[in-house]
Amino acid sequence: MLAQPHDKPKPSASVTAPPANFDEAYTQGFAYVWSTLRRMGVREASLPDVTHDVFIVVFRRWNDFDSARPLRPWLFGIAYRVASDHFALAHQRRERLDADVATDHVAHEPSPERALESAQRRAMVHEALQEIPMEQRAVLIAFDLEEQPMNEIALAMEVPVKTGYSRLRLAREALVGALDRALRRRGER
Amino acid sequence: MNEEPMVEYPAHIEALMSDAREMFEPPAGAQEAVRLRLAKTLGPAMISQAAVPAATQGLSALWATLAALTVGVVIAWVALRRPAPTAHPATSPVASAQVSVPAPAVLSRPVVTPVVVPVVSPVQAIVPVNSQANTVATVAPRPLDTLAAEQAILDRARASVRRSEWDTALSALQLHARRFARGQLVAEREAMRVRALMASGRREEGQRVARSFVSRFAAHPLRSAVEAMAQ
Repeated sequence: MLAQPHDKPKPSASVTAPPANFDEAYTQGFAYVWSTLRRMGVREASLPDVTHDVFIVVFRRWNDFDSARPLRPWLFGIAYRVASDHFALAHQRRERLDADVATDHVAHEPSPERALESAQRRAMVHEALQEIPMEQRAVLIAFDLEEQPMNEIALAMEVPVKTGYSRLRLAREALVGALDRALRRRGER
Repeated sequence: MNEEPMVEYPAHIEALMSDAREMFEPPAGAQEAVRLRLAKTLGPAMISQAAVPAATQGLSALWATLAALTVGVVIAWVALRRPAPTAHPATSPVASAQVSVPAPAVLSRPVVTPVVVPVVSPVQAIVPVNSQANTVATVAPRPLDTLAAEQAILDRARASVRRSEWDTALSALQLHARRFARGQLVAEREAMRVRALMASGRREEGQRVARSFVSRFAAHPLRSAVEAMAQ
């Protein structure tokens, strides 16, 4: 069971020194942005394009970055907006996580069998995530999967902290429902 | 502090979530491939040469050559257009002085716009160019200032698109086109224009703009989205 939000450990997003320039931000943040966009529902084939667009915005808004704050929540806010625009522009060819989830590169795969099981579970979660409205999905990804503090998430998404928690609550309810339905379809519940 | 009752995950869901916390790793080469595209899009100045693959070194030389040529042309242009000192006594001697605008070491955009600008007094700076009868060069806006102005207009258009207020969006896009015919966000503007036109029922016009987009921005990341929208 998850702890209550206020009890949840809030590990630092990054222990590395804050980036001094765009190049360092790119090096530190590339894998994070890639993974976050994937979690938000950007298809693998579109990831290079959308990641590129995220860092275009990072470059253009570099002067807004507060080096006293962690990099990841700032990148998250930009990735959230770019992914939202990407989905909006591509609404006629609605981006969905398809079966290609299982082909994604997964960190630290212990064995082929376990990796396959793990990939299937990840695919199920990420398919379920796509049933949640983007603004709620993003909060859940940042809080529950990336374990970022809610105050940073709210800041990045430009919403009050209370709104962030409301979105998290709605997202969790929706995710539990979606996952239970998926498990029933698979005969596992 | 959150006071809402928070949904907790049942154990079987939490087991699934633990797998989902694993990050998606980018495939080998993806980081360098995107970096290369960024260098081509933004110019190599903002990415340190040490980190840029060798393939972009030629690009760097090209940017440097373009910048040098541009500086030379601008200096010559300003020298030719500079009025005789007695023609406009009100013009401050400082007005024709020239300074180099130092570009930020890392975050500067590629210097293809003039880097030499005339210094004018505040009064001259706000006088319309036409009233100066081409005797005083205007202050060139810095690229990042121009970009911010462009972005602000497109943000307004985007907000209208989100509200499905197509006419308002198209008006904002038209404003951008008037002010920034050769702006840095032309592709973004045109992509949004396709969407607004198609959504508002002006399909033929939208498809025409889409075709123009594809021919002008063949390698742009928004190309596939534009083509899909125009179908």
